[in-house]
Amino acid sequence: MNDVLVIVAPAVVKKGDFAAIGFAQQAAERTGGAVDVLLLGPNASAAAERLQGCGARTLYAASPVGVEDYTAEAYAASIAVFFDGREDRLIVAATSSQTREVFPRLAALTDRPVTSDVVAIEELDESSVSFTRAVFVGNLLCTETLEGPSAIVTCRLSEFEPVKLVPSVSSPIEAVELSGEFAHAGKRYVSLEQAASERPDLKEADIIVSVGRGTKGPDEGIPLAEELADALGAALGGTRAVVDAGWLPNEFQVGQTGKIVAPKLYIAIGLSGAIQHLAGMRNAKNIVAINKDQEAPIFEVADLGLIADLFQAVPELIAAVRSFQNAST
Amino acid sequence: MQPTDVTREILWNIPLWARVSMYTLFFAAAIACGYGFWARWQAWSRGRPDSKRVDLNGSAQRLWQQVIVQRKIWSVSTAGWSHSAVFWGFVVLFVGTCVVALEDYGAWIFGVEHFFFFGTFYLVVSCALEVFGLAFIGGLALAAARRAGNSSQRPLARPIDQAVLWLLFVIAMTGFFTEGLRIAGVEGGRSATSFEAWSFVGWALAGLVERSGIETGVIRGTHLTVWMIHMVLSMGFVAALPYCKLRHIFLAPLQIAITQPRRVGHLESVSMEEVEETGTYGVGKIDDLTRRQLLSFDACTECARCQNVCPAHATGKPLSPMRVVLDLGRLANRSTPANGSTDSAPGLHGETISAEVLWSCTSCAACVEECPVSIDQLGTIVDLRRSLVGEGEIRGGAQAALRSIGAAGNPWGLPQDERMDWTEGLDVPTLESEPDPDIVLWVGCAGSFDRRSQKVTRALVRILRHAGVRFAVLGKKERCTGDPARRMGDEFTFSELASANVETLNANRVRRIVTACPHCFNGLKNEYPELGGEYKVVHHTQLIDELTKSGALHLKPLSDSGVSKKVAYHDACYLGRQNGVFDAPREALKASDAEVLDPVQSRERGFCCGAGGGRMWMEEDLGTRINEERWKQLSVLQPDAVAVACPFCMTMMTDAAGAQESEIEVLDVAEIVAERLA
Repeated sequence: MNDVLVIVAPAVVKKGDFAAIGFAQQAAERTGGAVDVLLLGPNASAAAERLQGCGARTLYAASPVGVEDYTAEAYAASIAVFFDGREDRLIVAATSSQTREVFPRLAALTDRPVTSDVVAIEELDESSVSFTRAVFVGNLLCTETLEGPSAIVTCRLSEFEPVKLVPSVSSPIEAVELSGEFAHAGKRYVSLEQAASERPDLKEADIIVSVGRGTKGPDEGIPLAEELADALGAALGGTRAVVDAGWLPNEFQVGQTGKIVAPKLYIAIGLSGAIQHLAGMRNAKNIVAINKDQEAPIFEVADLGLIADLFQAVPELIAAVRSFQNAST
Repeated sequence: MQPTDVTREILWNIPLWARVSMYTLFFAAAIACGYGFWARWQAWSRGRPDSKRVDLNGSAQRLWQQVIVQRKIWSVSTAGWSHSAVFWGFVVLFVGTCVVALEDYGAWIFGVEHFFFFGTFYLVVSCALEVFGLAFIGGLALAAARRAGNSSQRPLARPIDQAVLWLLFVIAMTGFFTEGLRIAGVEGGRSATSFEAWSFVGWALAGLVERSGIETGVIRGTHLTVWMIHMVLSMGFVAALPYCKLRHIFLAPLQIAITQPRRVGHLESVSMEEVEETGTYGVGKIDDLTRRQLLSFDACTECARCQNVCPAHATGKPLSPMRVVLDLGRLANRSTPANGSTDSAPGLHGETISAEVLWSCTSCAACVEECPVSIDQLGTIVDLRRSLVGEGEIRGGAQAALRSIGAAGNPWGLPQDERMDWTEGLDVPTLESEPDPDIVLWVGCAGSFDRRSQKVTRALVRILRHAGVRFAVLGKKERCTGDPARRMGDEFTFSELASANVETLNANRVRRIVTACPHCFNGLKNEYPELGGEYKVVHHTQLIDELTKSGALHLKPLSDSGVSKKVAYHDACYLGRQNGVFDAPREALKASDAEVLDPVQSRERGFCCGAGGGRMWMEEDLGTRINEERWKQLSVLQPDAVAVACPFCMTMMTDAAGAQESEIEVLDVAEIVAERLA
């Protein structure tokens, strides 16, 4: 009745899961119960090891038939089976694309109230629980009360301190069998297509080489930028114009409507620096701009600007990087 | 000949059984019609009561303009001819039928042979019915021709639309034939009733019948048959009225009478108190709409004009304002108590109207401007967006922009500290250094932060200085006006920002404001008064126009170079259509020695750049790009430059020019004027 169950599904332990356990521990302090964790997915047992030291009473690992690949219906149905006989006060996870899809289904299957984007617990007793929730993209906070002895909630991961692992305290890992027909009759997992790139991810890269319309397309300037990125071990990015023109895939877009990045070094090649682009990269530590138009707004935010024809400057830059690397090895 | 001889026998040649069947069918049709409208009434009653009283002031004028004169319909001239002919034909034929009915009942009630339908009156009415009957048929033929034509501007041509035309056509034709057969079939035929020549169509038809030498008995049999067809179809028409678009015959005038023309630039506000009281924000389910909104959807004539002018629809987005109206109307009617259980009805969001449809809207208001029956498609779309935002159904760029507006006071999330960076080297006065200026320059977020728009602001400063205008800016106290938040459906972020701005402006006793951003202009002018902010607000193009005309602004003499620059002007929706400012920017351009070119869709019909309604911060990944579509309309004029009067239009047009590798410059009106400062 007082326990708090954390759901980690798919069982790939991410930053948000540590925040969810932190949130669960806060809740458990109020209820006086314990925290359990359910990991669901094909590699649940292995993933459970990564949570050792989180202070959970038990780490349940379930890899039932039908959830090899992610579908919201199968995940919700199998978690619902796990609930059978349990009486957790709260079932929690960090808000993510998956919880937005799985948790409403779970709530419907198990007849429990559900809410999302919780930033704090206000009141908690046996028959009702009140939360502060972020609404209107975080511009407003509202208080919401869920009635009933058990509720499903997701928390905003930025609002809760991720649990610190204490390796000396181990939790028993218990493999659980869940049986049932979980695969959804009308929905089947086919395949996952990811843009294959040898280069680092834009969000994580220390260096980004970014291209604009000035590169004139995939047969002209973009190969040069790619070569420079490879020489520096950098990620490749681009402006909306470049993505719209089909020169780079969508996931390479940097800017307000693309990815917002903050690398150590941002090299802007042949891009003018429209405000939508600047909004996505202005927090880079160092910005280097190469553009032949000296009026280009990018020079106003650049730490180092080169007014030059990129078709001349970039090959020289690549050569310089290579010779520097050769010299230092 | 006595005047009473100049008439005809009502229901001549119609035996009792046929008369009985007419009245039976009439009552059946009246019941079907009445039930249909009653069911509609039930559907409207599900809506929220409207706080606004029905203000009948102006109703008569609106009815005159939009119903009698059919003013809005004439904006497409073939439709004007066609619909006006059908409308007026229908009205006169209906009055004619009433006159006949009155004559019949009057004679019966007063026990006289002839009541009033004889003599000159008979001749005039008969002749008028011929003229308007022909007009009616002509209008129908023109309508059919428009539906057959292969144009995107034609109205819908589904089987039901064709069927309606055929129904009316057959009713009209059988009317004329009934008349012709009567004239030929009465005792003595045409020679005995020469006055019937006033019914010239029936007269001509009777002539044909007489010349063919058909026996009187056959003529009378045919007359009865044709009359039966005419009567049955007419009753069918009455019965069908509430069940198809023909319901607009009643509902359009009603809707026009009770609907104050919308101040297009103004959206209905929602207060936090209301939301806390009712627990609903925006329209999440069909009952959240107001009764008036539900009624207005039923008034839709399905003319598709809103769809034809919609920039989102034109570029392959899933939005059609007409579909939104019709789908909501259908949903409201489908799930009324009159139609049984409400459980089987689909939901509103996701099932009836998808989020993609709602987010496709640029809030340009072309649909609202175009609608002949004053439906507010835009207000409805924003009401639905509000519910999405309230439920957290907002992602990507829109979400990021809203968060930035709330947190940083500008949609790009740039530091407020940089708001005055554009003034570098200009020494622009703030209200601290210039506490009592002639006018406050509201710079706006784009004008403050966007490198391209900063140049426009700087050009405007040069113009103001040149004309000797004492102005000041709010500086770092200025925040986003909240326009994008409001149009995206976030009423609370809007009211927070707007209240803060009103407080700043009022504390500094600001009376007059100029801004280069039509979105700021619209908000300050139309939406701030409700929050206690009453200012005289002008757009920079209006001020420039005023300054050149008053002589305060000296521009280089016209055509001293001998060649004037050809400039294509792109109307900004929030300046032009939504606030009626069409001439000031054009005048300012002319004063700067430019030859102003208008693209095909301009002024009231201006085609949006694609950035309104928060679209500036959203991906445009459905269909083709609106800005490129607009650029095609502008670049085909082969101008030396494209002039804009809005920072969002500037961004969109510059991007489009780049994407189409066009060499044509995009300049703000202020930049073109500043070039010519003497």
